[in-house]
Amino acid sequence: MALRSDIHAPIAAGDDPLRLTGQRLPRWAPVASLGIGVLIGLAVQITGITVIGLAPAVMAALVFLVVYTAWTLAVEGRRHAIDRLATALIYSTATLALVPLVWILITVVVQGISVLSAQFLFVETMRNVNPRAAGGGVAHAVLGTVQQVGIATLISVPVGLLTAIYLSEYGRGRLARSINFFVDVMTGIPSIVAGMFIYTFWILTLGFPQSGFAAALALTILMIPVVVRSAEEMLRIVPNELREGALALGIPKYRVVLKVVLPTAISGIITGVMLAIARVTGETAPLLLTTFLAQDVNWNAFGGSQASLPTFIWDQIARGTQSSLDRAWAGALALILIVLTFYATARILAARYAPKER
Amino acid sequence: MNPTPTKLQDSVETKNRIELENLSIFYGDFMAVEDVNLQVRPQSVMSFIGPSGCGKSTVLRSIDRMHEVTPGAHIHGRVLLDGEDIYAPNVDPVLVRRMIGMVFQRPNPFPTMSIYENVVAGMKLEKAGRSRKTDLDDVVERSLRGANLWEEVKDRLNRPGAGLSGGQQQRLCIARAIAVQPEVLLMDEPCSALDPISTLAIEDLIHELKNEYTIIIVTHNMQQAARVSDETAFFNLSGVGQPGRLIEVGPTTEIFSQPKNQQTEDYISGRFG
Amino acid sequence: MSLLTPPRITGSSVRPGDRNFRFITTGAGITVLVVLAAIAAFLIWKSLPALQNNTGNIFTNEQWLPDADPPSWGIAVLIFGTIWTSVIAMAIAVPIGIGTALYITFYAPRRIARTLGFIVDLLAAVPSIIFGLWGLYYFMPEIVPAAQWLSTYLGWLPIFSNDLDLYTKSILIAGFVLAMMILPTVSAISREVFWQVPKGHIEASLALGATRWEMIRMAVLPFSRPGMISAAMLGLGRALGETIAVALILSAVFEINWQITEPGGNSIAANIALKWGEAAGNGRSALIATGMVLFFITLVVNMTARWVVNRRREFSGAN
Repeated sequence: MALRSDIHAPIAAGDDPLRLTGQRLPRWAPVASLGIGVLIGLAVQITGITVIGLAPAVMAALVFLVVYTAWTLAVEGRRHAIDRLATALIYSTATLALVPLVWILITVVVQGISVLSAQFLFVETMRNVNPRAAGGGVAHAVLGTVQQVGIATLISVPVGLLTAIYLSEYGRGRLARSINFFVDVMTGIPSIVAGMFIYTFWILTLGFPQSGFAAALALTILMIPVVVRSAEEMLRIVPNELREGALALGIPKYRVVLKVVLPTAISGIITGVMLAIARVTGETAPLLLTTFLAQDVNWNAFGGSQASLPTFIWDQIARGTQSSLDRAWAGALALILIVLTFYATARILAARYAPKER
Repeated sequence: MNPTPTKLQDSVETKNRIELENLSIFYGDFMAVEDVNLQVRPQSVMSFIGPSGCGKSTVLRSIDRMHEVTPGAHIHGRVLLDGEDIYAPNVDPVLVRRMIGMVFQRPNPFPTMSIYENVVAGMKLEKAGRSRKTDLDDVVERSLRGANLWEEVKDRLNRPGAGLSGGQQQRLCIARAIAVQPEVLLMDEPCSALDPISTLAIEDLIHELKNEYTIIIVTHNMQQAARVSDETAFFNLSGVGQPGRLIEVGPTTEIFSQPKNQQTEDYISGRFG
Repeated sequence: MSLLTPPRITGSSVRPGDRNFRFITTGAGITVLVVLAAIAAFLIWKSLPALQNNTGNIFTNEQWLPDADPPSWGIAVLIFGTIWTSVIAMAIAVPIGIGTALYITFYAPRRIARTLGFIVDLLAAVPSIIFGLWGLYYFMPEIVPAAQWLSTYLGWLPIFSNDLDLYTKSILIAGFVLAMMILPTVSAISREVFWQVPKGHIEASLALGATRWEMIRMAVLPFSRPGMISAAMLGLGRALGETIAVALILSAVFEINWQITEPGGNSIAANIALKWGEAAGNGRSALIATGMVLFFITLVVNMTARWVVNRRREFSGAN
C-alpha cells in the first residue's frame, strides 16, 4: 500500500480539500431566514402586490426556504445546503400534517358540543322526532354501532391473528402463498363491495333480514385483511434469534409462538387492530346497504334494522335542515369519542403487556 | 510483535495525532468519564482496556463525536486532532467523522448495497455522481486489498454486502472505513462478535493498517491488546456509580509486565474484571 | 431406579399441542381464502346478467342507462373519476406522510415526536363521513382560492384550465380530501418501518461522515423501501374504495372532464352508493359489475405492490 504523502490530500483531482474548521452558519440563521420570509409575506399581505399570485403564507414559506438554503450554500457548502433544505422541507411536511386533524377536530367539537349531552348520547332516540325540530338523540345509533363493531371485532381478530400466525410461523408452501396473495387482495376490497356482497348473499339469497349482524358481517370482511397484514408484519419483525433461542431450550413450537413471539409483537399487533377498528367504526357505505335506517333502539342485532352512528349522520345530512345538521355534528362528535376510547384503551393495554423492546 | 517503544515525550519528529486534554464526558448531568489525558502517536496502535462499564467505549466514541448521537451528551475539555480541537464551535462534526473512521462491534454492511457499493458509500457522499467509474474501481480495489478481502470477493463485487460471513463482513466494514482515507481509525471491540480465525485475520490486518493509519482499538480481551497494540491505556471505575477514569497509559510491554499502578496490575492478573 | 424419568426422545415427533395449533392456524388461513373466493364468485355471478345484455362497449361507453331498453352503460366515466381522485390523493399524501414519518423518527425531540405521532394517528380515527361533512362545509371554501390559482397560473396546462369559473365540488378537491384521509395510513406504517432500521446502519453512515439527510438517504430509505411502498399501497387501496367522502364532495355528474378544477365527476364507489337505493334488477346487476371492476383494479394495484416488495426482498435485510 502506498503511503499517503499529505494527510490533507483530496481523494481525487477536483475535490474540495478538507479542512477541519471552516465557516459555519450562525445559530440564529434559521430564525433570521424565517423572519425575512415573514416580512416578505406581510409585505404581500399589506400591499396586495403578489408574485404570480401566491398567497402571503406561501410566499413567506418560499422566501424562507430560498434564503436559508442559499445562505447555507454560500457559507457551508453544497452538502450542508442540501441537508438543511431537506430538514426544512421535512419540518414543513410535519407541520402540514398537523393542520387537517386540528382543523377537523376543532370544527367537530365546536359544531357538535352544543347539542351533545349525556341525554343525547344515551337516552334520546329519533323516534317521533321531526327533522325540523331540535332535540332527539343518538342512543339507538350508539348501541347499534357498539354492537356491530363489537361483533365484527370478535370474529375478525381471532381469525385474522391466527391467519397471521400461520403465515408468519408455519406456512411455507403453495397454500401459504395463496393465502398471502388473497389477504392482499382482500385488503383492497372497497367497503361498498363488501356491503354489496352481504346484501346480495346474506339478505337477498339466503333470505336473512336486514340486521345489525349483517352489517357486522360486512365490517368483518373489511377488518380481517387489515388485522392479518399488520399482525403478520409485526410477527415478522420479531427477530429469529428469539425463536431459535426458545426452541433451543426445548420449548415446543406452539408455546414459542404463544409465549415468546406473540408478546414481543403484541404492541404492534394491538396498534394494527386498533387502526382496523377505527377504520370500520366510521364506515358508512356497507351499513347503508345492510341495515335499514332505524329511528328507534333495537337491542337485537340479529333481527330487524338497527341504527348506527355513521348512518345516523348520513341520514341527518340528507334531511337538510339546520337542526338535522346540528344533530349530525353532534353525532360526529359522539362517533369520534367512541373511537378515541378504543384507541386509548389499546394504547394502555399495549404499554402494560408488551415486554421491553428497546 | 511490538516495536521498541520510545518514551512518549521524546517523539520529536511527529506531533500527536490524537490528544485528549482533561476530557470529561457527560450524559445530561451524569458524568460518565472523568478527566482523561491521553496522547496517541501517528501510525501507531493504542488499545483501551478495562472492565465493562469503565467508559472505554464512551471515550472512543467521543473522539469522532459519535456520542453526540445520544441526546444530552456533551463534554468538557478538549479533543485534538493534529493539534486542532474538534469540539471547537466552528468545527463541522460531519468533517470530523470523515477524518476519523469507526468500525463497530457488530459488522454492519448496508444490506441494500452490494459489496462494491458498500465500499464506495463514504466516497459517494463527497462526489455525488461526479466521479468516473475507473476512479471508483481503483478505490474499491485499493480498499478491499487494504482490508485483506480483495481476493475473496473480487469476483462477486455485485453481490449483497450482507451475504458474507461475519469475519468477511467486518473486513468489508474496515474497507468501507478506509476507502475515504481517514487519518484515524477507531475500532470498538471489532472482533468480539467473530470466531477466532476471523479474529486472527483482523489482528493481522491491524498490523498492516498501522503503517498508514493511526488506530485506537477498544478491547475487553487483554491478550488481543498485548498482541496488537503499541501502547495501552487502562481505564477503570473509581467506584460503584462513579465515573470512569484513565488509570495508566504506556507502552504495551510495560503495562503488561511492569505496570506502575496497583489497579492495573490487579486487572492484568485477573483479580477482577 | 431413578427418581426422575427423563423425557422420551423417541416416539411421535409431533406433539398434539403443535399439531392442533398448526391445524387451527391453517384453518383460519383457509377460511380467509374461502370467504374471499366466495365473494368474488358470487358477485361475478350476479353481475353477469347486466354484462350480457349490455349494448355498446363497457369500457368506452359514457352513459349510465342500464334499465333502458336496450340497456346501455359503461364505466369510462367512473374509471376516470376513481383513478384521478386517487392519483391526486397519493401525490399529496405520500410525500407528506413519509416526510412526517422521517421527522418523527429522526428529527424531532422525543416528546414532540410522540405527540405528533399520536396526532397523526388520530387522523386515521376520523370516519370518512366526517371527512365528507367537514370537507363539504369547511374545507372546500378554503381550497377554492388555491384551485383558482392553479387555473390562473398553470392554466396553460389543459388539466388545470377552467372554463366555467366554478371551482367547487371538483375532482381536485375530492382528491385533496382523500389525501388527508390516507395520510395517517402512509405515515403510521412508514414510521414503524423507519423505527426498525438497525441502529448499526445509521451509526455506520454517520461514522463515514454523512450529514443527517445523507444518512437517511444511505441507511434508512433503501432499507425501508419495501415498507414505504407497502404503506403507499395501503393508502392507495383506501383511496380507490373510498365512497362516502367522495359521494358527498363530488357533484355527481356522469361525464368525463379532464379539467379537474371544474365541478363534476363520479367514482365507481360513489356511484354505487348513490344509485343503489333506487336500483333494481338490471341496474343493480350493472352496479355489481362496476364493483367487480373496482375490485379488479385494486387487485392489480396490490399485486404490483407485492411484486415490488418481493423483488427487493433479497436486499431488504429483514428476517
